Amino acid sequence: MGGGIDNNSNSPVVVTGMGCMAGGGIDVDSLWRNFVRAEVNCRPVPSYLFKTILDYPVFAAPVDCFSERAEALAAETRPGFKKESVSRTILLAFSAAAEALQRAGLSAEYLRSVRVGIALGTTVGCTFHNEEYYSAWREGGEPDLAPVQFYLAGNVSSALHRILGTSGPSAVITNACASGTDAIGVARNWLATGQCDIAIAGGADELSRVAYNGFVSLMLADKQSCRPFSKDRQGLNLGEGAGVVVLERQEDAEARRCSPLGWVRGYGCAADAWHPTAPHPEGRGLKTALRQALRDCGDPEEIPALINAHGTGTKANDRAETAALAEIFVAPEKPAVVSTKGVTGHTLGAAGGIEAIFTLTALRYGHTPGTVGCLEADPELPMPVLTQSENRHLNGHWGISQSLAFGGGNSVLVLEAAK
Amino acid sequence: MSVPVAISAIARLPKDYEVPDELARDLRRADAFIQMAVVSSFTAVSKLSSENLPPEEVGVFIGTAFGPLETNFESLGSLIDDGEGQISPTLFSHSVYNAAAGYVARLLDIRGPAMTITNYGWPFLIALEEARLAVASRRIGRAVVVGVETYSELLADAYRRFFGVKETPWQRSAVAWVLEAAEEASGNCRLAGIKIREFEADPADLLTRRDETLTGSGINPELPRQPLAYVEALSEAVEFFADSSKSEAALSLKAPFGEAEIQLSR
Repeated sequence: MGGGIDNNSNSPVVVTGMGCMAGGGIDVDSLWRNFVRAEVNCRPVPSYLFKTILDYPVFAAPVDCFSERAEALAAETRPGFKKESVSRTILLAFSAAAEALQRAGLSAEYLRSVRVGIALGTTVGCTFHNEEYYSAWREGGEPDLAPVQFYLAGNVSSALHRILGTSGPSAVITNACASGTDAIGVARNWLATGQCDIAIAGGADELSRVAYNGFVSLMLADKQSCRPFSKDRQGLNLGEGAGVVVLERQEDAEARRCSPLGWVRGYGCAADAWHPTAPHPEGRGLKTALRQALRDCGDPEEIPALINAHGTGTKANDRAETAALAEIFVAPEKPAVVSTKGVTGHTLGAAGGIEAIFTLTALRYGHTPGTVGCLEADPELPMPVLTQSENRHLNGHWGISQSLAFGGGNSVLVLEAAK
Repeated sequence: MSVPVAISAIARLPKDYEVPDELARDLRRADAFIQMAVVSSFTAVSKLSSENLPPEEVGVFIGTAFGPLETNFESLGSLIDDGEGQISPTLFSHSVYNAAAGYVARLLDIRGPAMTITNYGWPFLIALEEARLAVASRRIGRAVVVGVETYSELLADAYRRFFGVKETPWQRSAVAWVLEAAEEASGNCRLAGIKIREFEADPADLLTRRDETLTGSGINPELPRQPLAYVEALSEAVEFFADSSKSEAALSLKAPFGEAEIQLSR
């Protein structure tokens, strides 16, 4: 155990692989590079996603979001697989999973010999949003049923099982913006209770016209690149992508001589029980989730080195989130608090997966970039945050990644990097 | 150390359910999906004879195949008809799959985990297993587990055309179970374990529910062809078991898309 934190489980759960495909980076290395260089790829909605007259920029993944690595893996595990047969959300998820599995050193053959749990979070990925079909049907037509079959084959976790040829628990978590964080927490619990031998977990979401318009109508979107925690923040930018980790029980990873990247030490999930879309102003549910997650890893005395905040850039989120953090971390010494949304946008169900990867990577490297887009922090935030120019050396090995969601959901992971 | 988990209460929402007066104001703008999840949860919790727990020690777990799909289509329709940026904020926020869990948490003052799980096969079972693990590991003391489907006209039309029939045998429905740590529970039926195995299947089978059966329950194994029929049948089987003198039972679900086993004990 490092960093003074403990794990209540007899079987610590390690992270052995990480993978990413997003507007913020097409793999883990490029994602990290973009954070460090404060590279902002926020742009008008590209026509390959959908047409819009609105001018709210987004963080779009590349038109071809199915990596060569993913293509090679799919060709091996499901000969004849055609990427056109699945949704963009599934392609994003599979690309991220392929990178994570490669890092974990897990072959397709090995995966088929064990119980693989797949837990992925999504929001857009579970809905039917084929406008052409819907319009034709609404006008009394009988359009070809292929889009309905496509939708019914579109459960992201089931689809990954199908393509990989694996079997084991499968869950799609649809807890809105906290989905990816919850999916990692669920998978960690599966491993700790012996439900599976290996878990593929995280989140994936493509950009959709409905979600894009929905956030605009809620007046939560910014026409410029988002500025989380900033004095002049105006809202969020949507993004798309996937962030996936491979989890194993430590003894299993050691048995196959795989060196872990880190541990999932704690998980907490709690409802605000407050409002359909707005967070509780004092972060009531987040405080509960933080306490649960910290209790889950033995209530460490030391403060976390890093807190990856949800930090969307909306007035209400950033205020509520920092209010909760200020109440939990009262010692004079404060953890580094950052938001990644200035580089990734808000990737909804994928956010928790991508940000867990960011958190663990920063902890492994021992430093974190500041909050891209935040040039001057809002002085009214109750907790100090890192601005864009404030890169910080991290003194500890453990940190927190947290997500807040519509519906009042709050989810927290405690992550520790391997030394 | 895990603790045994009991099924303390079950509420099956009748077709002609009414929103209780104490919820009516808060549910006036809610869609049917949210309403049914809330009313079934409220009814199940009202049946409990066990003591109140702190709100942080109670969780809600919702399993659904199709979620608030009709509201999703209303949002899509609004986008097409009214133009960009004009979707009603309420409509959009209610089209998000976890809106119902948020309402249940708020109106029943549940401040532990609020989890929504989506799967076209047996989402209630996945939610039930997550809830069972949460109670068994003492992360929470009580879990409200909800299966809810409101379907949509678009899917009903697809069903008819997939299946070559004139009528869709669907009725919207919701069922809520309450799980508790056995020593706290008011019921006499324990949920000992759940195993689920998914198979690759024709997507149409997920809609038409062809050849879906529940055995080991003492009731008719053939399930009506609707996506929430298995939850209704499981609820009946649990009630049947609770009233019987059996010490244990194994319920088996089978369908072209998977198989599952639910272990009950005293």
